[in-house]
Amino acid sequence: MPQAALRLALHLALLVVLVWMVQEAVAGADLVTELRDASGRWSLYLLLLSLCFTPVTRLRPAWRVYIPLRRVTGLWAFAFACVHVLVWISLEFAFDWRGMWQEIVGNLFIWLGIISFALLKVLAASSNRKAQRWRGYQYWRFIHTLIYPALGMALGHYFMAQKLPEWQPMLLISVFIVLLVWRWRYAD
Amino acid sequence: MRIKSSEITPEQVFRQRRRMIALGIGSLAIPAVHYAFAADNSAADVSAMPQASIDQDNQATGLTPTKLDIINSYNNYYEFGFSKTAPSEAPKTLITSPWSVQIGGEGADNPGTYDIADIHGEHDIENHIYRFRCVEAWSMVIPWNGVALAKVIQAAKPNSSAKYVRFETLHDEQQMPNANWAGGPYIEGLTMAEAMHPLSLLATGIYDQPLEQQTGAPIRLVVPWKYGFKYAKSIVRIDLVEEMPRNTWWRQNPREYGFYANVNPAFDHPRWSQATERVIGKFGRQDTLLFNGYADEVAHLYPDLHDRRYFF
Ligand code: HEM
Repeated sequence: MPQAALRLALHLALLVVLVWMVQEAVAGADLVTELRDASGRWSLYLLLLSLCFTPVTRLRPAWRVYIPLRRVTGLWAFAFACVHVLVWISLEFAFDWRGMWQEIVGNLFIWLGIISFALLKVLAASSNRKAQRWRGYQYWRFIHTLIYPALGMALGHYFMAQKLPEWQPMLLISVFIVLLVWRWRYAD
Repeated sequence: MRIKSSEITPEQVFRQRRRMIALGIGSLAIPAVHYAFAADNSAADVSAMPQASIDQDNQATGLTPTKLDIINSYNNYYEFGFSKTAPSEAPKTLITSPWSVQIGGEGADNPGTYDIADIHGEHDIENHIYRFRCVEAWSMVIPWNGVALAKVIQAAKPNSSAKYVRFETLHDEQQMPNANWAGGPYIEGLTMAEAMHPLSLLATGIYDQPLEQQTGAPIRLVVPWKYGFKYAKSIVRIDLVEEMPRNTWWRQNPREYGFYANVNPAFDHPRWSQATERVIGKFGRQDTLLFNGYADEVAHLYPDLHDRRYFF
């Protein structure tokens, strides 16, 4: 498949995920939490997926053709994070800024989410050619290493959102650690 | 830090990347350190204590019950799965009839085993529309049908060693797919004074329909001024005991959950504020009330309203 078609296919697939997610939430008993949690989780899945491209192409050089999908994956990860945060602001708190502030202060778990979201915003905003040229490609690559702390904090946020230690966050954290250790050892 | 692109060498990028990777892994330590150092009982913030300023009658008439299908499909019942929807989606494996509740303990002079029909036959069915507040900061309004817990306890003839009431949920791997999540039966407890309070119910129905598996069929505890995890479901034993029962959530996570678990907007959960709550089925949030709006009725049970131990 030509690259444009590949990208389009991924865009459409993730759009279907978004529509499905909204529909599931609307059909469920609690639209607010279901949409908030599902979008948060999907953001993490896609961020982790975006970290898999380099190791995978190192193992199978022929799969380099899929590299352009990384940007699509990253942008959709950000889109899901936006849904997550917007649900929180609009549906959960109905733009009650004072109420949100009450929830934020002294709440490490929310702070981790906020910092992570701020870093993701930088990454998303710099995901274009202009940003690559802005201070040179190397600097741009440095900016994009912000993905590691952003994802680490989002995973900490996910872990802390649970009442009991559960296996899903532990699994995602393990995948993250494996990917980072690989990157450390074989970073280019 | 300002770096001209021309100054950056790939080696620098490489080292910077490693630093970021370290930061990424390091950030995972934040929750770990947080849990390691967070105090078990954070200091009570006395100044933030709200006054019981609720017009009870007004509140009572103003309650709009949550729709039955919402009440029946948004549940925490870990014995049937961890998500909110798992309990209502689980196969109906709980055998609720016949069902008997054993009432005893060293504090009961007249122990006995009762069928649900016996309990219904001996005591009046009461209907109460109560606020329901989960410790996870969401709420509903539920029209319960049930019997006064006090009457059931009176029938067991409590003696002087009846200081607490211990509730035990069915623990059966055949009937509950996730029966062992806490390593044993779900346990809850109340003080005698709390159990004898007229607000406390043993509920058997909602909206005049029998309880469903996911809402704790066939009989469950209802204590509307406390967080929802106190409402033990599918009860098989009620014991009048001398020692404070160690309830399941207290045992599972003592940093976050205790024995009393009375609703109080001024005492935050370690991970979120309890000042407001999400009303299931609506958008936005509403203020949480001291003792979930039942302060006039129950505040006298607690000598020190600034003692955090009463509120988590
Ligand atoms: C402004 C930033 C953010 C805020 C205010 C926020 C808020 C929240 C809240 C309130 C919860 C629910 C916790 C609970 O169950 O009680 C949550 C859960 C979660 N958040 Fe965030 N979040 C933020 C950013 C992020 C980001 C950037 C990500 C991912 C990249 C993320 C991923 C998640 C995940 C995976 C969950 C858990 C869902 C589950 O339990 O299934 N959050 N967040």
